[in-house]
Amino acid sequence: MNAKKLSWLLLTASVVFTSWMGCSSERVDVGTRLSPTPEEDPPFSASEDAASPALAMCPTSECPSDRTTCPGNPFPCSVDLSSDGLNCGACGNECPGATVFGVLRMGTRCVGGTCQRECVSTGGADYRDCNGVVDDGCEVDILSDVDHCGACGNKCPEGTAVCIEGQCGCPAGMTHCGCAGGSIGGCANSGCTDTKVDDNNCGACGTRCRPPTDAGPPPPNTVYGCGGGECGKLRCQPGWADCDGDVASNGCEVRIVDDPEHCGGCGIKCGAGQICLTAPGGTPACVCDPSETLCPTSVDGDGKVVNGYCADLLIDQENCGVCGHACPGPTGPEYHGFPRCTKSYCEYGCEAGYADCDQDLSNGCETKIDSDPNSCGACGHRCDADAGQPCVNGACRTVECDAGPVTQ
Amino acid sequence: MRSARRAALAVATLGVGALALAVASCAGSEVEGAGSTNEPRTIPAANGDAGPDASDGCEGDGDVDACPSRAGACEDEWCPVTTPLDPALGLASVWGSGPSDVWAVGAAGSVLHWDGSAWTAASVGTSQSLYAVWGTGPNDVWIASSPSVIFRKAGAVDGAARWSLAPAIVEAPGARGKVLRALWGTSPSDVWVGGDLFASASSSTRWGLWRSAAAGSGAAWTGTSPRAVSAIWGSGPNDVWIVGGASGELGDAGASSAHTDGALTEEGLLAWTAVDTQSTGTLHAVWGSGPSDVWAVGDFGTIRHGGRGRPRWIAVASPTTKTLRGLWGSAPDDVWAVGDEGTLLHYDGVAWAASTATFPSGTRPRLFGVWGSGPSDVWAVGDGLVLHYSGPKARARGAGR
Repeated sequence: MNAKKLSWLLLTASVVFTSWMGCSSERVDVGTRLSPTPEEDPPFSASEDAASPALAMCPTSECPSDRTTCPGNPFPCSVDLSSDGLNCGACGNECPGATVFGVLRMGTRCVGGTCQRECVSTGGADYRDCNGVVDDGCEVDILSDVDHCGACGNKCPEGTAVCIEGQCGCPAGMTHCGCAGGSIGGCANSGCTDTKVDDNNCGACGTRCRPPTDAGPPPPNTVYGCGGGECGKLRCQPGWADCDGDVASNGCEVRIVDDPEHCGGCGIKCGAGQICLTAPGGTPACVCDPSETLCPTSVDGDGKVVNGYCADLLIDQENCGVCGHACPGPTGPEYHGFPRCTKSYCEYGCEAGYADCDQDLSNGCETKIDSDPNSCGACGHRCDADAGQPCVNGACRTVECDAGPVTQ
Repeated sequence: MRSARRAALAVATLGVGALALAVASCAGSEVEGAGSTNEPRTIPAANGDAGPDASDGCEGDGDVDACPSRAGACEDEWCPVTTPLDPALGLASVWGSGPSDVWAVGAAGSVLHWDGSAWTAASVGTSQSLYAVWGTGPNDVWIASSPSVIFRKAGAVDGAARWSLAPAIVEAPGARGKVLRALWGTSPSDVWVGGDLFASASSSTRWGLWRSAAAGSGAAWTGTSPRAVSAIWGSGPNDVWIVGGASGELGDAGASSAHTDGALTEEGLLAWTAVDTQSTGTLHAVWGSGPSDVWAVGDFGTIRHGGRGRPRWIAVASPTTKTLRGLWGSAPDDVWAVGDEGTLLHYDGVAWAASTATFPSGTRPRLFGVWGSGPSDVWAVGDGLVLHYSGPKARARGAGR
């Protein structure tokens, strides 16, 4: 046994001993015995508590069986050929991504050491390869295809005009009248409408209501239009409601877009501390939840909030501590980190396996501490460079020493 | 097999020499997200760097179940004090007019008051976070959050303080998202407030430091320095130091600092002289015992010393790499600095050294503020807790400091 190996064994014994001490109250001054004093924090792999018979372990340059070193990769033993998209099954065998296949909406992923096809969807669609034909890729959006509505082969009943969000036909109470009117801003609700109140499709698709010629001026905040599927009915204007049941004299007297006693409808009361707010294009709502703060984006001359939004100032990185206070820091996959708001204070968090070792936020979490032998598991935690020791999963790799198991 | 693996892990550490701490840890294999892997797990208090006191792994460790609880007597220099604060909320700043009138403010509009015997919760009526508290006396206390959310104590009713909104620098939602971080002043009618850069409603110039001309009469704030400000300290109106980041944003490269001796520019504005921080990290706090003895601390354990007539801050050896956020002292040889991961440092006139603390739940909270009424009555506040230092303890760890 050479001297180096002996020292390993001695250290091992002391480690086990002190480990055994566990959490007893007695002070164990291991700091001086196990010099050199560490400059860095301990690696996260190092804490195991109970005492036990030990195997002496030595640093090694060998990769574990599921890892390999690929040329061009900066760190030894950092490639897992079974799942590495750049080295799938063999070094340099890159799995083609979605951009390679273009309109086929298809990409590949390294699974079990081979590049396997998978569908890639963006923008609210869910494309699937329903026909199993590779040449046309993932050809069906199951959220909108009436022949494959919600799932491949799930054909909607004969006569069904639309598949909306994977459901056949219009929502309950709605009728499909199509978009023949050519409404500005696209076809709302995929051409589904409520013919009971739609002035352009009143009672039936295509029946348009016109103002009655023999009626007097409508009561306040009302209009003549489609009601109950018939034209010429008095209806409240948008944002108003008839809460006292008396249309003839006072019309629709309640403004339901900002009345906390009638928020969005008659008698819908907002809770204590809440106000009734209607976002542009939205529906009236009582805001905010107790855990949230109303952040105003515009106020009127009296300081009353005209528009705003709700935010949890404790955790919202766009509204951290104070409305609109966005936490700084780079975002994007290349930074391996993200700004975050913790207890109302801004921080910059790192993805698992990465750390911000250079303390320069502009390059994010630049160090790959799960495989960098110069920062293995923690910033500055170096593996044994002389031994060519790789960093695997954030731990400097060791194998059983030649001497075999050691017991106390 | 399991036992063999344990030993393997232990020995693997020896290979890099980072052992004492790990070995003494009581924890199980608490592999956490990599973002926190450089968080030491075993050091009871103070800075994260290894020291002889690091052998007691039973606190400061996330895995409290593995350790006997240290309930009861606190034998550290700093001990937690019971408060009604929700532990999920943090405190950012602490200030008092004396030993029995101390205010602490923080997240979600949290306000606490110490009357000499207990901390009680108060409310100023906002859910925004409060970042700074300061005053000139028991009846003149200020709390700052954002350009339109500044509070001032307006008397008391039945012993409970009443707070009113001070005049806004910019009315909401102007200067949206901007934060105020610092308060200081020379009298009730000369209050200085600092923070992010923003412009007033009537001007396009962006200021990071504002001064109340006569805030007591409801008058406006005047932009005073175009630098983002994290902290303000002065010995008087003609000797004021400010520190901060170049833009006030987290991680913004380059610290900023300036000093004024009260002289005015040709335009009648306060003249500031830039002071080289010799630091890339932001400075978060500044305090001095007098014009010629001023300290500043900041990112990554940065400690600087300066004073009147010095064109630059002098780098001072720091026992930590953790970000320091708060600073206060009672004398040139009694200065405290607090910061991330439970860091508490003391300067005795010769050198900075780590202090010790007991943390309530075995965590290592960020500490943001420190203030005292005297050398043996010092408060530190941070993530969900209040700590108190009541003077030297013969048996305390670190007592030989």
